[in-house]
Amino acid sequence: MKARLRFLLLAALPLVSLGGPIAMPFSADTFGKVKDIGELLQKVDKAKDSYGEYKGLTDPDKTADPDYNPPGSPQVPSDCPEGGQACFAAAYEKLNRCRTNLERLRAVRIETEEFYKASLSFGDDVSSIHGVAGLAWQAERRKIEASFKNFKGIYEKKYQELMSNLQQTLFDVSACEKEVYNESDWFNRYGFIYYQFMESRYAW
Amino acid sequence: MSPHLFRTGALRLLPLLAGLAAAHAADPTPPSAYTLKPEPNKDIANGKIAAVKSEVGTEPERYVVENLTILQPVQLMVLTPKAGENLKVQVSKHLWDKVEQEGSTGATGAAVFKFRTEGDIKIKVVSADGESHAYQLICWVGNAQQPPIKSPFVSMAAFKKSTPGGLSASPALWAIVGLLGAIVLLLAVIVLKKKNT
Repeated sequence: MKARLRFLLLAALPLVSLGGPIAMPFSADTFGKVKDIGELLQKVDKAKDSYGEYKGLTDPDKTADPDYNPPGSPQVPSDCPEGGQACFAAAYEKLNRCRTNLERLRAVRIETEEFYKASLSFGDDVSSIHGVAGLAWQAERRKIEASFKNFKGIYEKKYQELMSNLQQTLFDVSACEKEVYNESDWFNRYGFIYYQFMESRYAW
Repeated sequence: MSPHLFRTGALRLLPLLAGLAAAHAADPTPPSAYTLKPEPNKDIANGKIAAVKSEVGTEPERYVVENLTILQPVQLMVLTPKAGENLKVQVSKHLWDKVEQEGSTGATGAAVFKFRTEGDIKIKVVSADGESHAYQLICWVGNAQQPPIKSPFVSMAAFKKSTPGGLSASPALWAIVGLLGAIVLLLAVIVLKKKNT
């Protein structure tokens, strides 16, 4: 039955595309007849619950997966750890935004590094086979290296900006500690431990 | 925060893409690929979808999907009209030859891949039995999903309990101090003996 539906689905369309692949407007009316598509559409609605079902494609992807509790994460004491007080809730929300941005930055770095390595590896391999092209490759190789260096500079700038935001947010938490619980100097006593950990985690 | 760095993978990878293009230029037979561009669709509550139909024989057909983020679930499906029409499907990341996932439509008439990735992916479809087969390729890219963000904060009481201060609380530290003391004592004895002789 499933095979027949597939056949009907494909037969309804011109089977042979002379110029290679043809884009099709997606329509559940057409595609929904096929069990796999039906299942996909059902899962699409539940995708929020199935985050863990989709694993990283490559090892670097697995490393780039956001990890908000990496090994060595310090526990930071707070008089309002759940963020029940409005002052803390706002600061924690800001803090989580900083954390997600830093994790995005880390993922971009990992991917770009992998892309860079793959580019060089591919060029080196090809140029070793084709002697003449090898000469051109050396010039291109230097350009790639320069581009990567440039990316490192962009990363560093973004890193500084995000770390500055993080520090400011921890100052906000410190101000809440002082204001609500009369806990003076929270940042210097506790917050800096977390800051230093984050500084080292995202440094390149 | 300026989000430009995150907005598109193309931006961050542009200079490097130029480099890889140059590398490909050194390759006498660079493969051409069709770019799949998933779009929102009324039938899809979550994310975007792209679909293509084609027919492939022994000459592979290639596709790329660009600017994915690690937060987006991705599902690829290659469907043939009948089970037994065997197409080999390979998913790669940066290089066509470095295959990360591989499947075939053979047994069920469908090859399905589920993953998350950062950046671009490459998809290669080719006949596995030497015959030409029609197929459809569907690529669904879900909305970005954040995993739960665990709070780094603990209550003051829990913190004090987990990190009691002072040497008195740590027998291991006392043992180290005792060992160091013994070493110092031993060295002092040796030095004194040498002086006496």
